[in-house]
Amino acid sequence: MRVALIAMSGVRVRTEALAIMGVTLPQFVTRGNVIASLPSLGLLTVAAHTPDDVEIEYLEVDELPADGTLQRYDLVGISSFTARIDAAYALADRYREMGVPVVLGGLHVSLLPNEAAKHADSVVLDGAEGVWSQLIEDFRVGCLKPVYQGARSGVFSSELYKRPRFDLVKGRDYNRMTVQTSRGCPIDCEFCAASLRITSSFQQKPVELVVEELQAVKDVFETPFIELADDNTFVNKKWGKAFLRAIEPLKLHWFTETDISVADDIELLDLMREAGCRQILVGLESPEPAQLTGVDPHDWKARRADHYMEAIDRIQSRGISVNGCFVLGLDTHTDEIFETVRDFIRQSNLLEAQVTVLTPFPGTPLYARLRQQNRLLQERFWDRCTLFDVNFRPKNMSVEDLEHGLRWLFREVYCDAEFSRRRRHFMELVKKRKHAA
Amino acid sequence: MNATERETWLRALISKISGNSAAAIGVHDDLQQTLGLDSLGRLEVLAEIEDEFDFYFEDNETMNASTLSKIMEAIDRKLLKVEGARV
Repeated sequence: MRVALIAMSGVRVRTEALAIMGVTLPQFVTRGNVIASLPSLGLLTVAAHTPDDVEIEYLEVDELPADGTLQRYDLVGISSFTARIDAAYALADRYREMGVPVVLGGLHVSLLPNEAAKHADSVVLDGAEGVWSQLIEDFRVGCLKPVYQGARSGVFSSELYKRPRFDLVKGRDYNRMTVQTSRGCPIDCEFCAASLRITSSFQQKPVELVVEELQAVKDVFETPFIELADDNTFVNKKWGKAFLRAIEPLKLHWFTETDISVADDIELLDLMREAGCRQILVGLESPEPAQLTGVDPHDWKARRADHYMEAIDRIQSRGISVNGCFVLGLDTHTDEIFETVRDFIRQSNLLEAQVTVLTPFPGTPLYARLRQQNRLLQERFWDRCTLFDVNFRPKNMSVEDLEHGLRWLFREVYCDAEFSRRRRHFMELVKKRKHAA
Repeated sequence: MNATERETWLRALISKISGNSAAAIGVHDDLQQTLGLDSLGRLEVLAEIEDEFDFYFEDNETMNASTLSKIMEAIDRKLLKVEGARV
């Protein structure tokens, strides 16, 4: 039996003016390129849950012919982000027309299973752990069910956990490899469309399992750069320190997403540096506390914003760069926000900044609220869920103001001069740290 | 520091930052693709070079410095320029 697991990652900006800018501004596409060149950890995990006697082929969608005949498999599994879900559905339809059964899974499919079911023989909801092997057995005996409810909790327990099949991507040209240490995030931002939507609560992988995975990656790739596929790695500082001490001997370089509270703990920061942390991506969202009211249910970020500058400096002075993320178009934002963000990025000396537009991904509380307020520009706009295309009416500015402001900010933030200034600041920090040592 | 000493020093620096053994670093190995040095690691290398040789690189002077050999050339060019300016 042969099963193809097909990954569809990366985003394509739909607004033409932005797409044109994307190929001319330095840094604008950097993070996008990184995301597009990551393997699908979800599918490598699915592969791990596949019975040993099944032959698995891991494929990136770009490896398939855009039209014409597709290779035949006994079963095809496809996972996709929202922005490419329509392409995933089209691919699924092509396979099904050939008589090849298709299973769809992933975040988008978990949130909109009825939509996905129109293009699949079966859909897997939430984590594939615990159901994928059963799905394969059902398929073998001709009893594939239309829906499999995967795990929402205990995914790292000994009953459900299996190490992802990193060996399946050996020799491929990925510039980063992903390893997950947790699912979910307790901050629970209204707009977040990440793993917290497919978990019942924050789940942390035992340190020894993470170490085994990292070692497995090292066995496959000689000098891997690791991207921790987490929404918020250092929620639990005690776990974080144990994790960092355990991975330090592996001598890896890695990136992760976490929150600004890592700056509160000097010991943690020092351990991060020693354990090879090169960059953290932090959702700052907006520079000022008042602008952050309502972003998360407990106004956690609003209470933190007064200390953003100092926290960024503390992290970066340890040689860990901060990629600060800003979301434009919050209900508290007026057309002054663009200059405010530009000034903050300059003053904070963030080495990298990710400027995006508020995006109501399906299945998020934000989507539900904006729909209820009749503020969505279209009912269905999945291919525009790129983080750069505007899909809703902002509260305190027009759609055009937001689009123009975004483009203005891109030019201000991603130009050569700013890029150079940020690099220079980071290099001076490196020298300062060396002299202080 | 003569050219040989510079290469030894630079090899040790790249080794420290990339985690590869100094002896395993080929002069034409791509810092990113072959040695796994990310963009920040590259900035660290350049910062330490500036610190060691007491000059500042302009962006365009290091744009193509993607291997040990090319960094050596960038250092040589810069040192010549700096020495020339001092004379």
